[in-house]
Amino acid sequence: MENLFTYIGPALLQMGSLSVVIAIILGVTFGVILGALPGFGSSQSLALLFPLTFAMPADVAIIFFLAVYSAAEYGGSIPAILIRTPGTPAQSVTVLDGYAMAQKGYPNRALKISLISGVLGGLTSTIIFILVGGWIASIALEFGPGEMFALGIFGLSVIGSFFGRDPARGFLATGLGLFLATVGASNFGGMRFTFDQAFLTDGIPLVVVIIAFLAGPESLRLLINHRKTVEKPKTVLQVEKKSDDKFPLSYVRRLIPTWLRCSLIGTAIGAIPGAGASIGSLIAYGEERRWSKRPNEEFGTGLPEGIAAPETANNAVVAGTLVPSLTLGIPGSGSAAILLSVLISKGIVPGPLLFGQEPLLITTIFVGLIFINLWLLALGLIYTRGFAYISNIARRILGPLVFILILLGTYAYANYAAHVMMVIVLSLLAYWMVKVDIPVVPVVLAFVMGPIIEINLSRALTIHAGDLSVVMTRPITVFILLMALATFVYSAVGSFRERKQSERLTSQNEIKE
Amino acid sequence: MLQKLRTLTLPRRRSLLVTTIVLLITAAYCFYLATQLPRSILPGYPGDGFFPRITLTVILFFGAIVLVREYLQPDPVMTDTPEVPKPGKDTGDDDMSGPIRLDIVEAVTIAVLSIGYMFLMPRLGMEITTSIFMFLLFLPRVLQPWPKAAVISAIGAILTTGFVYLAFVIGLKVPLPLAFLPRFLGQY
Repeated sequence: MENLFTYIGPALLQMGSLSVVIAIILGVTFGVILGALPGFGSSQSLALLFPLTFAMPADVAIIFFLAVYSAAEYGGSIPAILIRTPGTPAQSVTVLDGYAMAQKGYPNRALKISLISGVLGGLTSTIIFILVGGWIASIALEFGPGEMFALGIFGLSVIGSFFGRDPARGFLATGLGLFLATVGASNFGGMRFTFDQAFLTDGIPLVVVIIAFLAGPESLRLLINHRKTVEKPKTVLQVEKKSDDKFPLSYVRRLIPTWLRCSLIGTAIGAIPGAGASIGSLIAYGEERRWSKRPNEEFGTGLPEGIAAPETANNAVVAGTLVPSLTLGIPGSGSAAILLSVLISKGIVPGPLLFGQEPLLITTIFVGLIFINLWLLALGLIYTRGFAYISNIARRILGPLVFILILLGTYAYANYAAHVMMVIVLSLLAYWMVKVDIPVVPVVLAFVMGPIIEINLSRALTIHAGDLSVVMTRPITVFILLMALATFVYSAVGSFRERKQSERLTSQNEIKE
Repeated sequence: MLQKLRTLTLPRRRSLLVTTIVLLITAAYCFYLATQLPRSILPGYPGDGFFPRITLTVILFFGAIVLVREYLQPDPVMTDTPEVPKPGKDTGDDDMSGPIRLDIVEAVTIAVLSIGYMFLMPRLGMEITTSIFMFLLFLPRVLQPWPKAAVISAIGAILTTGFVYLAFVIGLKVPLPLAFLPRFLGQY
């Protein structure tokens, strides 16, 4: 911890460099724009912008990505409040009170509450990240390859259990991601599943999997499903604004408990792999209704707490996601997987050693997140209304534009046409998986974690002369593996109960009919 | 009628079953290949096939669960001929409880156009291929009478090509195969 604080000075100096300033300004602007587009969540936005980081140094790239990530989580709230169209699923709850408040003649007040809450959520979770992250990393430093392998298994158990409709499909997708990661040369020089094709020798690049499985299905959905879609023109709410349509200072005192509660909820949800901003904002809204002094009936009628709670939580998720990603190397969401990929592509290995080996980078991330949130606040205070019009772009026109970015973005990675072909094939596969309701995010997460798990397992086995029982019976390993088993059993039982309940409801409905 | 012909309507559960079976067969074949990989001479290292065998076991195990469960589940009540959405109407996305609709002509067109784009780019240059590619993608999406649609699509395609040049060639310094633009807009 002390070590990290000694780097605050150099990190602040880096914030003053032109490249970092440009990265923050562009990242926040792109993030708000993409976040305001319907259907574009933070992971799709990051996947689409991934190629832009190829030309950036590691610290600038990670700051750019965090700026996009934070801004995309906020950007969706603008159309949610002004035109009742949430940009990302996380803003579905913001619509309830945000749009209601705007309808009452307070659109600017609603936007400011959303902005200030988002920024405060981001700042609080950043502080929690640096305090908790350092502590977790120092504990994880004691872990050997066996424990790191078990930790990877735990990560996979969470990913498989909680993504998608049921755990079986989640684990099927997880297995697919792990398998794709084994294609190409192994760590010990052997060739696997290359089928004598030269372009598979180096394996499937991470950037290909990220673009194909995160941005690919969305772009194909826009191209195929919405080829002839004509959206009803959505007008930005035109109401007679009240003279006091601004953020009253009295709200600061009123909203402090909400901001604190929901920052903690958002950070905690962000740290849990598989949860994400949508669940964070839903839980925060539910908890706010429970803890708030306001009567429950007032929620949904334009209550400031109803906007502040989900917005604080979904921005707090960003720094929360960094805790398991950077300290343990477990990406909790598609966005976190892309952040890790940026680090890996720059030769930086995420995990407990990162805090010791790259203290300047960690401090730069910490300071950068603060600057990003402040810039988001400045941009939001100056101008937000215009971003609402972005969600009016016709999806049928958006499709070709996103698709060309995907093709050329992939080409930009290594100037290799075979990578583009891989993206086309894997995007079609991912699009089909979405159609048959097999989740695609676990494929990416497992692809990121696969090599980490394999290398730790191989190391542990080599150290213990190939005796798997010695590797698996170390106390911490046993504890982590039991946690993984408990997660799996919990999700399987939950899914079984849910299925039975839905069958019972269906049969009851049939009897009634 | 034309819309009905180009749209493939598939029962959701059967599609999942077929997808899972294909995945299981592929996984079983790859498992066989993994067993054929040479054993390691390094003491303790389990060999290159060890980890792939674990991952493929995960696919085979959970794929079998999905298969058996979906197979045993009673058929949902579904109308035989689901309504095909009219063109021009907001078709939206699939209703996850109904059948899967796939515009097969559009999917194949996009795949063929993309492969053709990547094949022709080194031969004709980025400017010509991107303009043609974008024009062909925009044309059916600009819902205007055809001469107007062609003009709007052409303008859109040229503007996109210009943006691609500025962003990728000038900005990101990607060595895309170029035919003539550097002469007019500068080079990286």
